[in-house]
Amino acid sequence: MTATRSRPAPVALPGVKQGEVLRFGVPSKGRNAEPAHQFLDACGLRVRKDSERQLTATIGGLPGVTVVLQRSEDILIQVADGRIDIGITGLDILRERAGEREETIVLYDDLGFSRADLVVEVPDSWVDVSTLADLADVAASMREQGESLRVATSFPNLTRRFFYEKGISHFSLVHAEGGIEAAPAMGFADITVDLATTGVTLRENHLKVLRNGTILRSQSCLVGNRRALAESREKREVVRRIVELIEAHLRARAYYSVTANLKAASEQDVADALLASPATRGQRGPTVARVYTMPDPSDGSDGRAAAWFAATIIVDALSLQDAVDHLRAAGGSGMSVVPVKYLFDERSQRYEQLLAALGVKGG
Amino acid sequence: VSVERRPVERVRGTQDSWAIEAQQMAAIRRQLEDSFTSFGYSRIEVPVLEPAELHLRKSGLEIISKLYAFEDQGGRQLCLRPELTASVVRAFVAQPPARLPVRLFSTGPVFRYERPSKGRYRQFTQSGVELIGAEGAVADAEVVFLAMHALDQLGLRAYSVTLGHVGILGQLLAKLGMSGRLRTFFVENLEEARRRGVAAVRRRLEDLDPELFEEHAPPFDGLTPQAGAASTVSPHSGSETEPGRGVSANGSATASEQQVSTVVSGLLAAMGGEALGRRSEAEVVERLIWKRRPSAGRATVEGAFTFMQRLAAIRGAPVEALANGRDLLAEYKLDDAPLRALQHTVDLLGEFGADLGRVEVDLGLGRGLQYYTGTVFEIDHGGLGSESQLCGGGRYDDLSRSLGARQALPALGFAFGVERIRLALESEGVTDEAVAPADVMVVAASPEQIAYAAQVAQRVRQTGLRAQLDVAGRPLRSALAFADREGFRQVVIVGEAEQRTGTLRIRDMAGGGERALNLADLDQLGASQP
Repeated sequence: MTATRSRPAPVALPGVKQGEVLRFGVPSKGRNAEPAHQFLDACGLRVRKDSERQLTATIGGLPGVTVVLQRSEDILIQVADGRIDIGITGLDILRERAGEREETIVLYDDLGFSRADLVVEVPDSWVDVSTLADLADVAASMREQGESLRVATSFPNLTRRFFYEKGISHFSLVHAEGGIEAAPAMGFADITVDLATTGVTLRENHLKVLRNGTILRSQSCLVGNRRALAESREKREVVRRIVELIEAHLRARAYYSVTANLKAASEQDVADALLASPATRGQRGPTVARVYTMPDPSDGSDGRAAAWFAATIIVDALSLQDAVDHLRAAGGSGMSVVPVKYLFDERSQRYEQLLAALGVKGG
Repeated sequence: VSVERRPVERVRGTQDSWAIEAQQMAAIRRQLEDSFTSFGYSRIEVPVLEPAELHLRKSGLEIISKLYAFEDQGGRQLCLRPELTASVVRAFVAQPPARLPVRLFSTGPVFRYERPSKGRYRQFTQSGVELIGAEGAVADAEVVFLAMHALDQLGLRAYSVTLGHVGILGQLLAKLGMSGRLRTFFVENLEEARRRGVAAVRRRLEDLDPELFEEHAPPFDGLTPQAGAASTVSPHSGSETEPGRGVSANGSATASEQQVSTVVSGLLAAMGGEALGRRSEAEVVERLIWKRRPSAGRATVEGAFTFMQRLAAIRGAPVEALANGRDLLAEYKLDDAPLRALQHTVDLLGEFGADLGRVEVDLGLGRGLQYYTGTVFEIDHGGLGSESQLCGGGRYDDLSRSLGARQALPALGFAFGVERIRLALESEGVTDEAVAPADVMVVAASPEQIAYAAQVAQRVRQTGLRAQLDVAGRPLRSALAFADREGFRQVVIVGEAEQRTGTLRIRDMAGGGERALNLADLDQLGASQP
């Protein structure tokens, strides 16, 4: 029912650097590493390494931050132990290894990348098994024969908790770190609990996911050491800048900035036309500016009776087509659409949530 | 502060108990045990460490999902005990006493992975009894009466006793032909139905077994009290027989079953021989047929939900609740033996002298533990808020067999939560005065007299008083100030003159006066106390 779990030996950390304020753990290996670096890039937090082999790095524009490059598993442990102040890890790792360690505080549980579901997988050939209830029956019948259902997983705690909650109490865990999907075919386990990424791996190993067998929907998360953040205003200030950039980036991802040229008598006319429809109101209303055109000798006008204006609105991705249609109907042309890189609000909600969770007021 | 220098913190959900609180805990334990002893129970000590198997086998999810289980250095699957009963019964099965019944009590820490809150801890103290080898209402009544008596002895007032019987639901499930996992599910969730309603239990089952609620039978066509018993739920139909127990759906394979078998064989052959792992093709086919039978348990399940809902609604004063219970059982044509047993227990309790004003009958009481088979009871206290339960118990006639005994043995017992009792007493204002850690402090006036002071302290102890020797090596004035703050009423002071003459000085801390005493007259020390 339990299995030995070897806690990986944490990599030795370098000594504190001159002027270091905050240690930020960023995955360097494994499936989270590449997406994490891309994500930070997109947030404007580019990780800069002097050489490929270095274990630390810096972030442009954020002096005082030492990026510590480690495995996601180690980042979690180091944050919980207070050796790193904040870090990016996976929800799967967080829930498995620090279910409720109070030292760890979650700053972001939905960074939106490295998504994977932790699922219960059984052999395809078990055509009578499609739900947890079926699995409970199989476990019971194995037990009657003096055997126990063997579950291969690298998530013993999450698996045990989930199975117990679902009424499956007789099973034994077989600890495995990689190639878990092969365990049933190789005969050292009956079923697996694993992160399901692609259907291909499942099919190749003749496994299927139980229909109610999703234990956790995992993705990357940002965690911090509660004590370190509560005690140091200096650290919090750096964390605020990081959290704000992440928040503004994540919020911006769902938005486009649309600029159209419209012919109208005045700015007010353009504004009135666009405010009339929800599709072109944007977040707070259009920004309208005069476009100074070259005098066109063919129309003989001096460009005053009907001038060109540029109107810019911020629309969410789902309403983009709607907005374009409405702009066109209002006489818009030459419409350019660019993704929004950041969307900052008056205040950072996430940072305020963090302060509340830390029990700290202001700054 | 470096990681290595930080204070080591207490484990979440555990408590450090100091001074007055620790004294109160000890006093409650002692008084509970005195009550148990006065009814002829003898002490049994059982280990904190047990094989995880002991609790996985019969405790039920409520316990299993909170088990502190781990693998030890020898690769054994162990747990910290989550309760005492299973350990006591295990000890009993290993070494059955020559004569029955046996009355045993035990006290000690138990461990559950709870969400900690006031009155709910991950390590807490249970103190309880087991009466093994006695059946019937007299035994039931005596055990409930003992629990009430023990609380009365502690001076607790605002407690109430709730009686129930898990055999009623069990009887209906047997009549529905329900067995195995589903039966366990319903028995375990009776308590959930009582607390959160049947809808919550249904959602839980839907989550676990979505197929049970799909296709096949139309909704809610199942058991209605009158029509049901004869048609859909005949206990002789055999249609609910679990697979893997040697009986096919109705004794012999039908044509369609053979078709299923042929199709599955073909399918599995195409997948390759090894694909099934340790399961056999016959087993898969048998389960598949059992699963796909018409109205696969749906009607049965709906019938069980309906009954559960009605059962859980019956609670109140014994006379009234038992009457309502009899009506329900008559409607479902179920044997009312459980209600007669409860009635008898209540009557006996009254005759033993228990205050029946405190007793309620609640037929939805399930206790959430799988091993109970008959009468169950709980004692709650009004002053404790959401964690109001002080005591839980009941009859577990099959547990000894589940744990390896050759035959089932009628047995029942209960356990108190000692921390909760302390909180309950506190809420009623029944608390002890803080007492000084000792009656007398013995102080040497200078370091040269410390050996003499130690001898004097030992002589004081021989008179039956508690003596604390001051070992701090501080000036007399500081020692006296310390004794005063600690609440000592008397301090014995020995200096060079006292040592020479075999005497001592006694300082009365309240009045401030001093008098001299010969070592030989030390027994006067106690007498001088107010």
